[in-house]
Amino acid sequence: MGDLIFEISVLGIAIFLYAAGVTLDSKNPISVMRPYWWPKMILILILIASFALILTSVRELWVYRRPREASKKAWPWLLAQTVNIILLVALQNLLGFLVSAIIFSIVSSFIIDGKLKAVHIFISFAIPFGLTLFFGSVMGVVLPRGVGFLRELSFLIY
Amino acid sequence: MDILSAIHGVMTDPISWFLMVVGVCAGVLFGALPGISTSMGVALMLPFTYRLDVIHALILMVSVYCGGIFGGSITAIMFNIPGTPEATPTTFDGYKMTLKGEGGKALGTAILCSAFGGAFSVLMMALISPLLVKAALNFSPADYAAVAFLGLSAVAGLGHGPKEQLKAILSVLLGLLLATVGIDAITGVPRFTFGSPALLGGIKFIPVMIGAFAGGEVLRQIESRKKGLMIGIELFRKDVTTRFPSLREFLEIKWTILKSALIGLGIGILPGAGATIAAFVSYGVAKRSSKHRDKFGTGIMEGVAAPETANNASTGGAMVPLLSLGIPGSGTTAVILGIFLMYGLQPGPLLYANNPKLVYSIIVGMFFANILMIFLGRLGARLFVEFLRLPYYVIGTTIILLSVIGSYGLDNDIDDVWICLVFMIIGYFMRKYDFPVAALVLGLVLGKLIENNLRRALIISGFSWSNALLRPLTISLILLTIFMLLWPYIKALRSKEVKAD
Repeated sequence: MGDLIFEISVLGIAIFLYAAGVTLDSKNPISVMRPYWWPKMILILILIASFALILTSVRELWVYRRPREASKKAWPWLLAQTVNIILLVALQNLLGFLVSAIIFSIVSSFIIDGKLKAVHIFISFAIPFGLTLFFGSVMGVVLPRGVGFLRELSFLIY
Repeated sequence: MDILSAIHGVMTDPISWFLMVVGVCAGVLFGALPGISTSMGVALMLPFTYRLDVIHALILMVSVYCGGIFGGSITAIMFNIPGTPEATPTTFDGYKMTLKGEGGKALGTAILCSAFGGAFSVLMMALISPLLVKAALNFSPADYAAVAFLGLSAVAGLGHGPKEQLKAILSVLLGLLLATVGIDAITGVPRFTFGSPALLGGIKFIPVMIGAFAGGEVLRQIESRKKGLMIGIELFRKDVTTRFPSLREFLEIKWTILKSALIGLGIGILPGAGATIAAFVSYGVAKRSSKHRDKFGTGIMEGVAAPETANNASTGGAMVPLLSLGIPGSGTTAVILGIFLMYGLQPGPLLYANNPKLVYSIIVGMFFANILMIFLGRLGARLFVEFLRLPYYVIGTTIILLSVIGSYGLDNDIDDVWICLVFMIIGYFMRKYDFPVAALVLGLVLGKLIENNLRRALIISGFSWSNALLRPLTISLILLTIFMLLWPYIKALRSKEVKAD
């Protein structure tokens, strides 16, 4: 069922983008010279392919009646990890790479392993420190430093 | 002369040697870890290249590529779990050899054959690519568009049935659509930017590749583990002492190795076929042509030598269209193309003409990386197996952090990290519902090349499709592409007919 929803979503997005392309396209008499000429060709092919895929999935669903997936629910963990990654990105400019990466690593260890022991905490500090020192100091990648005293502190580390 | 200068340059440069060692080790490690494909390994190594010059960056990446293809055989032989799909046929005889107490010899055979296959294909690549370049210098824009279309037919190898094929085609179309985001090169009009200045320059390859390949896989692994679907590797202590076969044993299987190397090279050049198909085909050919065909599957050296030679020989083959035409034929070579583009270089005939030192340095680096694999594989096999004991929370967390660093470090732009994050989620859903991520990346990488050349061809021909496309080379390439795309359907139809009979 999930694959059908995914395929319908692709079809929906393709219809939306096609409509946007038609609205925005200029009225140049030579089609190749219109900016949306090529994207519209691709979108038509996407519409055909996703429609064919939806038909195949509906037919499979109807004919085979696939068994339900494993009963253990994984989506709350996945959602938690996705939010965790979003926070990692969102907090970069405020807290800097190192601090946000440590927070991310602690939560990520708990999400993946289902427990939080001293070794998890230790590794959650060790990985971000190692990566920050290597990329920030050795490789010279300019990692976000955060604001205020965190910024000052970051200059001591990388 | 260029090649001599490149050999001298690479051989006398300690940084190149260091990067080859690091690349091969990292590649073998990524290959050995189930759940990390070679493409993902190459994408994950991107942040390590940001402060390197282009020659060093590419030497590192091709070393990861060569090491990654071999790395999958370690777990295939020791634990019956192929670390990468291309090592699957290695399990047939490799694991049986381990059960017979000959695991060390199986590993030694895999190392030697991988190194031979890889080095042989690199030498052939050095011979074939200049010939292809000479032909490509006469290509028109329509020919280029057609060659890029042929590159897209790589998706034919990414789906294993009509429905999967349809999913692969849809993925490649989505990649082509993503490539249209940003300012149109011909009219200067922004497309699908929805008022966002961040999208005016288009969607960058690197964050997409890192997010879709690496982040998506981490989310998928978490799901599998939480559902209890992940089978853990039984890492009981095994003797992982590598033992090379004797010269006599090696010479006994010389024809199998040579045949497999040629098969790997040939299949590697074809877009989409890749290392996995090369390994399976060469195993089948070796079995059919062997004097001991009844012993295949019981644990014999030939059964390890054939797939391992072929899958590594495909690496040199896959680099031929990339270096000479600028067309990647697989997910991994698409990531390598991304590195060229990151440095403002477009591989193809002009790169050969303008920067031969770079091209030959890549070839030389790839050759020595294969040779280094003999020493590093022998010394490091035990160490690489130890890495398999790392818990997934360490690996998963490190992959996500590397993805963030890789996306941010590209231009120090947080927008790139958001793009990476979006493609982590898209990559997760694509994996969950069996849409090949490599097809999306291939579409994204080739999209602009196809569009610009096609429109240029139509403008030159006075906006006439027939004038633009009805040229012998163009039409042959288009027909070949259509045939490769339809092949899975023809195969399915034929097998249905056979079953009906």
